[in-house]
Amino acid sequence: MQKDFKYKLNVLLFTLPALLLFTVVVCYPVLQSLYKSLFDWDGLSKPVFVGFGNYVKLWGNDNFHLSNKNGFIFAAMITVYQIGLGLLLALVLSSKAVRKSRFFRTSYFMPVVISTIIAGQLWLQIYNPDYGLINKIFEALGMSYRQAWLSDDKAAIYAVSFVNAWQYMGIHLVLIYTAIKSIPEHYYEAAVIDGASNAKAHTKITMPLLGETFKFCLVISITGGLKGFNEMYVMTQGGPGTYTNTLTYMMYKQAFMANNYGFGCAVAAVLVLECLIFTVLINKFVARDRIVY
Amino acid sequence: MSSFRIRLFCLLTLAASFVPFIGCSNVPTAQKAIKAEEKPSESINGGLTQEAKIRLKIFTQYSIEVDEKQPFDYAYAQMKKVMPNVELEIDIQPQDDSNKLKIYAASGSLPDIIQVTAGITELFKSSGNLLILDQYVKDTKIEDRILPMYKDLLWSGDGHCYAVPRTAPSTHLMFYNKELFEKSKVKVPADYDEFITAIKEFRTRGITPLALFAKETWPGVMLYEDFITRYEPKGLMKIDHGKGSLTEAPYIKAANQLQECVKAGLLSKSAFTADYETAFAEFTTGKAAMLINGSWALGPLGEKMGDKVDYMDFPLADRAIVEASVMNRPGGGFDGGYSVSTNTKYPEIAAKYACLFALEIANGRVIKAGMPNPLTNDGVKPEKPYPAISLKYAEQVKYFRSTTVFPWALNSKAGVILGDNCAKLLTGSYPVDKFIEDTDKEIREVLKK
Repeated sequence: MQKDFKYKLNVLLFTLPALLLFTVVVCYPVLQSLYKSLFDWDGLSKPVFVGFGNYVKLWGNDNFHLSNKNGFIFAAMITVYQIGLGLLLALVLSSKAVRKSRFFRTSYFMPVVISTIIAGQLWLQIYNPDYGLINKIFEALGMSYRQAWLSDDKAAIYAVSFVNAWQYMGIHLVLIYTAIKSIPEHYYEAAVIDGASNAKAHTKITMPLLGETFKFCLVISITGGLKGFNEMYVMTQGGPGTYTNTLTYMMYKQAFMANNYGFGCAVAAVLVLECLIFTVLINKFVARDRIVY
Repeated sequence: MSSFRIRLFCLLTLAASFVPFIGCSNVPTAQKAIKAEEKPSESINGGLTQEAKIRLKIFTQYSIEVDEKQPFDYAYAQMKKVMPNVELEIDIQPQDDSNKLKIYAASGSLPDIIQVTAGITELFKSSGNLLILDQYVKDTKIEDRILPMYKDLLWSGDGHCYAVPRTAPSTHLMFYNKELFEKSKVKVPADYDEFITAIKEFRTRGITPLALFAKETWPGVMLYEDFITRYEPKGLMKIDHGKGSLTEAPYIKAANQLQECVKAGLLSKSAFTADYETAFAEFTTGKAAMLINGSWALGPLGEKMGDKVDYMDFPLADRAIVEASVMNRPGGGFDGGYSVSTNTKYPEIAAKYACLFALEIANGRVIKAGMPNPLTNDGVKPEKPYPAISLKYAEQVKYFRSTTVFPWALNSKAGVILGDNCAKLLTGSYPVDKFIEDTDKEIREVLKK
């Protein structure tokens, strides 16, 4: 009995620092934002209670719908690119036929360690309509297709999303590669004995056993996409106009530029809610059964 | 590891996790100690004795830009003669939409003297963060030193003084590369039709007609304002004051003309990702024929380009009203100044210092940075002779018939809406009627309160 109590006390003591820190740094601000979203507040003066007024205004705001749509585009782009290409490359690099796989892994991971500011500046030059690499390639191929990638109201969000997709693909590659490498070798040996092809072995063994990893990758890429901000801030300032705004950018503008903190908090609340919904859905539908080797 | 050690480890970790929060207290203990020692005794010059040294914290622009550091250092040296016991601790203002300042205010740790914009003045005034300076303005007699046309800048709408201007108002200008116009054999436009012709001619020669740093939103708003003020002298200020609507004819006409120019090729395709340095380089190297910016750019452009640069009277009006509208100038208003925080331990000294220091900075901007329009009647002259373009401006400024304000002096919510929607208008794909409808609706909504 006393041993059990001591064990519980130790568990409590171990988790308490992290729990307290998490509460102060995450939970309290989130709850504060939810509370403040019910007020008309400029951040300094006395807040005026408006109930769900900010949410009603938000629903009627065209920019909210555009920002939300952009968040989904951003999330979809990076999820497909980062997990799709990351998986493909991880499968290739984990194959015994590939030599120097460490070199390739390091190379693919390199953009991750570059600061977003630098990556943003780099891609600003690549996207430049006059002398940028992409338009120059079209020119060299004799094609008259030239785009103002970041100034076009429709193309800009895709162009910005691609920068994030490119930069952080390496994280997913490493996660998936590590998960593949942790699958016991004898599973594949058994499959080969049973006459399974390489592709068959991957679809029947690798993919199901990567479920937990996919779950994690999906959560970080979808929530990371929904709250996309850095690339827009560096490259387009959310523009032209609001064409590359996401909910995070909208929240930033409302709270810190327009001094409309109450409304900004309402945007933040919707963002938190969306991220939570996606996290719950992913946890519910992806890799429901935990596999232990 | 024994359970005692485990618990000890946990407790130490717990204690360590709270270390960062120590930094959240308003004033560091060490600083408090210093301030306690410096407590001034009552006496002459706003409570200063000869012995007491006062350290005031000032939140201000202080970059190596010609109009920031040098005028500041000049003013500080001048103030040493008047209030030698005051020392300044500079807290440099970053370009962060005043977020650092707002955080200072929210956490009750505003520096003694702060540089504010019109928008910040309004915000801090309503939250009681600014000291009313009326009495100090009288005591220091600074109003007598300010040129008559700028005296109004001292007083807020409620009749009180919350900030002392540190520069004369700037206006918006359309600069052009004289040499490029001559070489390209393009006539310097005088009216809207000639402006459209000039745009098309530069486009056929592969030259960007106008360099716009549209990564920031205010230049787009000012470009729209340049058109509006041809037809409505009060420009967007009239909307901001709730005395007009964007659905009125001048605003619609201006939006139509602006978008027509954009469709004719006014801007570079990379305008929306260009910052000022990029636009400045494009203009000064002859890749762009025109550039819009505030009159604060007169000095740097004059110095860089000499006689090759000039500014034109906005050629954006229909021929019939060119004469009548030529002296309607966009821009102006309160360009920022020094306020005193209600937090300060030394209200008397800080307020007196802020009043005098602001005017010394204004003088410093003329003497050191070659700003052509002085704020004061102190008769200051620039160290280096004015470039020709600045002389022209200094002469012309007396004849301005009306001015408006820059976007940062508009209601902050309205400013964001205008910035976003003007940028969309400049893409050429946002229909003018939708621009008018959306912007009018959104601004009405935020100004209703």
